[in-house]
Amino acid sequence: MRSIGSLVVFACVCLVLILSAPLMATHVEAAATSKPIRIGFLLTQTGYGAMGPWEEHGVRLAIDDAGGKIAGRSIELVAEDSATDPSVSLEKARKLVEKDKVDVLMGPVMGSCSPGVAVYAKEAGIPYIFNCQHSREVILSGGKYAFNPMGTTAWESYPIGRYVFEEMGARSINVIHDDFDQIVEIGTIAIEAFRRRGGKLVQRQRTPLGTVDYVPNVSVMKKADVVLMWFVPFNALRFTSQYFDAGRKMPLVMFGNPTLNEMDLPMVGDRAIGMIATAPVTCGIDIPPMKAFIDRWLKKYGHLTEKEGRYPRKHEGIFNYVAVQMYLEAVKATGGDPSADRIRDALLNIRVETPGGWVSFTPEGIGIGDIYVLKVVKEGDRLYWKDIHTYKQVARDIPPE
Amino acid sequence: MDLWVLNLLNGISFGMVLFLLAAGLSLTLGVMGILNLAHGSLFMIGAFVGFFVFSGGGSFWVAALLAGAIAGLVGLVLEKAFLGRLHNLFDAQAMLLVGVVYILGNLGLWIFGPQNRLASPPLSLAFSVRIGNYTFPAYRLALILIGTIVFISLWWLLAKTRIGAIIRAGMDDREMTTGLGVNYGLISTAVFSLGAFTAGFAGAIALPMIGVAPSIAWDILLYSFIVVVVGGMGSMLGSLIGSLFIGLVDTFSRALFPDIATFTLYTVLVITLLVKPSGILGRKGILQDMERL
Repeated sequence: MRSIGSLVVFACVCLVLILSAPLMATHVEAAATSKPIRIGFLLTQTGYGAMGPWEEHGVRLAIDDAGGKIAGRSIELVAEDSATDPSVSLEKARKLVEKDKVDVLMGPVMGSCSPGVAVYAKEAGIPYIFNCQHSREVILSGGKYAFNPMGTTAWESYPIGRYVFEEMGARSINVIHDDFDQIVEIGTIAIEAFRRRGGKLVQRQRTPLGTVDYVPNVSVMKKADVVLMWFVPFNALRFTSQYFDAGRKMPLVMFGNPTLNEMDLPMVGDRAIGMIATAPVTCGIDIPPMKAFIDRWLKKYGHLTEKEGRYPRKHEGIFNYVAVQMYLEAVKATGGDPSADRIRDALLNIRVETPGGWVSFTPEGIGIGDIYVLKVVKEGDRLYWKDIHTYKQVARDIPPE
Repeated sequence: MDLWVLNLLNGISFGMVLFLLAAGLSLTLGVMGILNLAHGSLFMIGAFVGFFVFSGGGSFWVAALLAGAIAGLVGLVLEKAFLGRLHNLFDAQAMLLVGVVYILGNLGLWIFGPQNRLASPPLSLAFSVRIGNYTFPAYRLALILIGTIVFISLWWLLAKTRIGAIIRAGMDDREMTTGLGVNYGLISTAVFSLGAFTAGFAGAIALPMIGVAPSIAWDILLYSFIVVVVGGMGSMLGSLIGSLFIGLVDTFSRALFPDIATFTLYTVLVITLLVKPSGILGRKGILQDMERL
């Protein structure tokens, strides 16, 4: 009797356990899906590369546009300042991953700081989204979970070499730029694109980063159809002003992102009209997604002052928006699963309409999108970069030709 | 020929900016033995003040003087509240000043934002003169004149006034000067403030040429160190000669040998330290005096 009783009790317990298993699984799943999606973002708020409020504005706008939730899970931003310092960037990246347990790492924007973070993200096995162009080698060093919607730095400069020859009719170029590895590389690519088409390089000057006076360099510039230039923002402002002060007239073309943003242009004045550059996106692009983006930005930040980031004049704000937007779309595609492999598969298969047009990725994680050639124009009192030519849906990398 | 004339004028005008910047540093070092690592930050403060006063509609020259005054005030507070308490503690002074640089830089970032600024010259000087195939901004010619006036003023102060005699006496023998009843502490504070004033004034005056951003302090400090070492500490004429020399070397090396221009200034610095460590016109024995301070 006693053994039959024990058997009955045991059978009842088993029955209860079997029947309650789906409920427990649901509870565990509910606990997992109720956890927020944590985005770890390395901003650049201090140091010589400080980007100002636009960076964070772009990130928060992307989260707001998703309604603060994705696939039923709330979105949490954990932001840190990289201080434009590679060692600080790495330290903060570790903190975000190991202490804050973020699901994804993004940033920082400075080319000197992101390589270390990319390698760390690879070792940590966490998705990493670059928020600015970088060299192909650095993007690939981030491993299979690293993605760059903005593409490679080479991508920025190759079309300019091509544009200057094919569209501007230039047959000779004079090149001048800051002297550090990344820029030397992309300058070489622009020159190569130009030379492949039959153009001639008449002179190349590489100026030290700490240069304050460019007049000596300007004074020895040999005549060419076009000057290809690129400098970090402060140097770009100095060079451009001093170039025009010296009375030089050769057209100025930046072989990459326009580091003279809309707030810098008035300091150069009307002399800047006609300058050319390339970018994956700026606020001057005349397409419906960009107009809608600006409207949303103004709705959220229009009450602020210019200095506080009222208008998306700095393209880093837009880059950050796109980085977050692409990631959130990937999370949506996985149904809320932020695991690295699922996110990777999702990113490789999605195509997202960003403020700068449609963006997707190559199998190596390099962005495919539109490339805009920009020109400084004046409308009323406003000087800004307006798109004048588009290379549609190209892999933002060096073409195989 | 045009190229040589253009770069000669440019080198001299750049040298004058360096003189305005380095004169104060040289004085402070010569009188107090303090290597003011925050000198670049004082330049930055002056530049920002100058920019906002001028772009707000004020007179450029008033903006420059106000910039100097505010930088001078900051220098006064720095000396009285902090450096004065660390007399002869050079390591502590250096650490303090490095901290001040970071604090002022981040304050500048917070108050003025990260945006780079470059001012246009005042309307009266907003034109260029033709030099062959080139144009040269009239403002840069004005810089030569401004630098000359400042040099004459400072030289006159040091060489022809009683205060200047006291300052020079203190540089030569501080103990004796103090023993004669001179309040050299007060003199030192005044000299430090004057050095800060010239740095702030230089920042504002150099705006149309160099511009300003919160990150400028270290870049500009390096130039001023090189000038002070080459020209000689504590000597106005040495500062002027050093500045002009560095301005011309920098200009011509960029024009003629751009690929090695990075190394030119440091080469000059190293040679000076090896051959004549007190600088071109540095006072004899200044290095020993600094050790005794």
